[in-house]
Amino acid sequence: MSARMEARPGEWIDRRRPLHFRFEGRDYQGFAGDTITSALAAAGVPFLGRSFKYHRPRGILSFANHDSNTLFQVDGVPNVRGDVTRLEDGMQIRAVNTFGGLAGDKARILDRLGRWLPVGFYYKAFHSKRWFPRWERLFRRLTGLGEVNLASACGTTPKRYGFCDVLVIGAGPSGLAAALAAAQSGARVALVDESFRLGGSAADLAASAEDLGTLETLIGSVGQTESIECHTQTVAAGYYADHWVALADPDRLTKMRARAVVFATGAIEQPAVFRNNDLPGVLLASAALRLAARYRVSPGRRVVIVAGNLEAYRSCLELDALGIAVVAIFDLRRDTEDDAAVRACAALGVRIALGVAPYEAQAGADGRVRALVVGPLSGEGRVDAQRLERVECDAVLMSVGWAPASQLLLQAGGRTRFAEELQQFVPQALPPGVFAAGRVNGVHDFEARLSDGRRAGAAAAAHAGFGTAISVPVERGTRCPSHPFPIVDHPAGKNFVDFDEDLQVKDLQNAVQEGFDSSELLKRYSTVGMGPSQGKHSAMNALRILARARGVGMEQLGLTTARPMYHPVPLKLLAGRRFHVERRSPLDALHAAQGAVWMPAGQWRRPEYYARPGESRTESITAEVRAVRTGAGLIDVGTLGKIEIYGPDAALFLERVYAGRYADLRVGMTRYGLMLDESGVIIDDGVIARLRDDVFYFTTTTGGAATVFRELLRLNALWGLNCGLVNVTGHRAAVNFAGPASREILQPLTDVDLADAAFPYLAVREGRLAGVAARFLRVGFVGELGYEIHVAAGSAAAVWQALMSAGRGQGLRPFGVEAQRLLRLEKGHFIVSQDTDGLTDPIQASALWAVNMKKPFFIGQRSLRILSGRTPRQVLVGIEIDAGQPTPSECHLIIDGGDIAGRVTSIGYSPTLNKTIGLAMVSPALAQRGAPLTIRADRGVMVTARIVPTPFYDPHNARQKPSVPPTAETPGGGAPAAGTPAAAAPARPVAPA
Amino acid sequence: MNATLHVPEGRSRAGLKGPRAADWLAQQGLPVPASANTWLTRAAGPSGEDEVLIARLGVSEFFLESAAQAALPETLSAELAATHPAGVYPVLREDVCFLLGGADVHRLMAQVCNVNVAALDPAARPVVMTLMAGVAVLVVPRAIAGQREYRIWCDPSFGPYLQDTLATVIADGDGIHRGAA
Repeated sequence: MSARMEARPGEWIDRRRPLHFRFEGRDYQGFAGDTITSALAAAGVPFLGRSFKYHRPRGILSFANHDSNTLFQVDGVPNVRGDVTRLEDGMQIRAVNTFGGLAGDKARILDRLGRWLPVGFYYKAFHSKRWFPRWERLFRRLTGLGEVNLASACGTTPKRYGFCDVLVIGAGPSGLAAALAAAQSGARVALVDESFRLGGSAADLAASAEDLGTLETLIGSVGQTESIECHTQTVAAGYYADHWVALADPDRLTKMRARAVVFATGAIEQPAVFRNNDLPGVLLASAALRLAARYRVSPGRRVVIVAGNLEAYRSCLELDALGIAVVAIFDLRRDTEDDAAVRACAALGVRIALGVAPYEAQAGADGRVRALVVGPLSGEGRVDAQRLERVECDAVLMSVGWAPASQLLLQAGGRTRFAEELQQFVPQALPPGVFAAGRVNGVHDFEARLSDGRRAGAAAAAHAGFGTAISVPVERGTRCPSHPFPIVDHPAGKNFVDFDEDLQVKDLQNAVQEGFDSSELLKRYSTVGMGPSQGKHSAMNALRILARARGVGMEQLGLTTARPMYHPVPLKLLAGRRFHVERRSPLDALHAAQGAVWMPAGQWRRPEYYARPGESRTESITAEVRAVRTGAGLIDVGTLGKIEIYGPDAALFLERVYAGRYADLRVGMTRYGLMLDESGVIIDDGVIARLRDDVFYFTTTTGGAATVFRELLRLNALWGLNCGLVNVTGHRAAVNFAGPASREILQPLTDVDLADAAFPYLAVREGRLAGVAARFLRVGFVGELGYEIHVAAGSAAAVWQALMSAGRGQGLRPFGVEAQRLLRLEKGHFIVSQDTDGLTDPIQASALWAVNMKKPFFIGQRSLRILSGRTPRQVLVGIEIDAGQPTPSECHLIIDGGDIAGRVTSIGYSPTLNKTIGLAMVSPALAQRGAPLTIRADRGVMVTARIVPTPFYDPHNARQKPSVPPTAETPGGGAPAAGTPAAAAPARPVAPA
Repeated sequence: MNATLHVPEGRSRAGLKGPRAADWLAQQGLPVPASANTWLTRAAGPSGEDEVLIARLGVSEFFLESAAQAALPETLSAELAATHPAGVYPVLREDVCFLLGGADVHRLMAQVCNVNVAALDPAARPVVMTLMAGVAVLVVPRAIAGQREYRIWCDPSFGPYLQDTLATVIADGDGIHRGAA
């Protein structure tokens, strides 16, 4: 590529500020304002990258970020898009997708193996199960663009929301006109363009001096209009419902909510397809103009143009004005327009050959184009190979047509039709609030684009409630800007359709032959349009090839819709600030002060245990369990869901949503509640307390709180009962105070009479504790005498401190989730969603005691009736592991006769019973047999377990409702005798694991 | 970022809901916001030195806050607990409150909330129920001395997270925050 040309007014570079950078280990210089690509081109670097599959040398194609030829690894950041990334001093740049550097890429041999790598070859070659792991490792080494540096600093790139009345996407002539029209109607406008500056591509694309003047005036007017907010270097990456558009700039993602959207997204220049059209030095004419006008880089010294439209001639004149000589224009068409531009080119001495197509480009020793072989067209896509001519050149510019940038329109729900006269898809029907203007709308003439923009802008503003729409026709014109078939066959192939995916014409032809003959199937099988540019330069040509193969028109094929993101967006922009919502108990600081070791429990953080100096984790947990069993322990259970229900139909509501009976629950008493879904599966559990005839207070599991409340609201709305629900989960704190000494410690602090006669087991009382209004629920949470105390969140700390202070002399310890889990396991209580799964019903969980089938209705009743007539798939049983064996873990499988017969759901070493106990789901046959179970533990070690009745500890629940205080002789109860039925202790809600 | 975050203390709050909640409030001599999702204030206290904010959340739920402790909201809660009026259900409110202000308050809000709060008209006294950084909040915009201020309430269990998050956003501004390697 030629070096930099002399300075010119309006250039985008600042020659007073040279910048130094390194590419592939060599030092180069550019200027402030250069992009990486323009700086490399100006420096004369022969080629800038290697293609994806064949590792062919590649140079500039679109210079508009519409291809992946110019992806670079920059300062450790992968896949930096060189066309649109500004050069910075000191940049360290490497090409991606090379092995051993750009020049000596070892994988370039793949180019010679092309015949064995046809389209879809990977589906057919690598299907062997035995060999696939080896192939997979090879693919991972060979493919993938760029390298991720795992040691790089992690940062956040905050997202933000944006709001406007009218969003205009595209700041070319029609977009500028649309923005001004909308603003003049009174709307607040956001104007977005991917380029560094407003004006779109019109400023470079050989517009007349008059048009350029108009453009400058528009840009000036936009700059002075306060109600227009401009976002340059910003890509509209995706359209979402209700005019929500994702805007990606280099620093952040803006989620823009508009009331109306104008798509003035323009058109994307398309390449001609001929052999070796991917050589460095073969590029789009618009790319050459941008390079020359903005960065003063010449595409070459001896330039030829492959033409298919009038724009080719205008480009020729513009290049000449920029100091770049064009030696020939080879026009695919047999006739040109009768236009001044054509005549001017002829007057310049440019050779113009009509009906001539490029046959193949030829490379020089440096890998760049050195000559173009052309020949007369003998048919659609066919050149007369007997009459070829070789033309020396060092740059081939392609100006054969445009494809509308309509993907966002399609995402927005727009429908298009193929306009034969324009050879492009144009909008046919657009949803309310969506408007199109300019070249994406099939309007190509400069003045017509302005008019179309004004029309669309006024219409968008009117839709948003500002001003009125103007009624002007859409002037699409009759001149066709795109050649209908700029594709030339060649027996040796390497005529690329999709540069990102290294797809040639024969690849698409073969795919059609194999039956992938719709646009959707062709895309998915061949991967055309699935590379980083998402079909921007390949979709139209691919459709043309498909249409020819099937003998149908373009209208019958239709465009595929690219899904968001339309344009590649760095993951860091999508990640944004990463809000990880966390809930804290009002006792959080007190837990921390007492040495809490934290664990996540849903959105909450809870103490797993409380670390004490000199104690290991196991010792601390064991000590906590023993404190509860022999003295007293205190645990924060404030994460439980807490709901109040008021009203005359409150009891009726609970009768319907829970499986148990609550209509007959006396005021001042509690009862366990099991919640099922329509299929009878256990979804939640809790305790229901009746405070008054028409007032209940009930709890849910920690993890189920939000879901259950939402479902209850839905049911209440559905049933229309006379009751109201109040969710006080975060507004109330709760602690569970349990142990044989709990009553003795608590009584002095409260005005509630805790004696059995006044406050029996399963009762609820309201009173004060340490001066704080509290609800006391006497429940068997961990199998000891205990009280669950609920207070307003703001009062929790005072209650906790009062209890801790009062119990200090009796060895009161706070206990955490792990001790709670062991204590409750000793009682055989199951944990919803740990010991139960998505199919567990009360029959399987041995929880029919909590179900009242005689009620008229409850959710899940009908299913339970059906299930009760069948053998359950699995049942929950208690297990013990004899000493000396390894301890299995939860989810370890139970094996019977070589088959899976169940799994361990909960397991742990009981400090109280001095043995390993657990719960397991097993097949009913295995449960009934009574024989030992075999559990496959880690590394395939087989462990023997015995099924035992539950509860393991205090099977008659004497500890929970002592009329006589426990003595040293009856600390733990021990396991019941064989044959004794397990006591049906009411299970209590716990925080999920 | 020129935005401020203040956590006022010493406020009293109460809530109530139900089909007869509006009537009951009126019977207590309190003004009732006429429209859903609006608010008003009323002087309270012996010398009218306390201002009580009464917000109507939807059609049949109300939220009250006063600047002084042991003030009107607590009195109302006590009255509800004592009398149990039919169709009126007490709602315990232990919310955390934040006051957001400053010249860049809308840049702050744009990072955490998808409601266009800048377009709200404080004169209309709107109450917005939305999400902020993933947390359900109530938002009340006020214009004080020509500056926009937002009063935010949330469930107390989300308070520490929301406060930390807002403070971090203010500290980071709009810029990219680079962590240590």
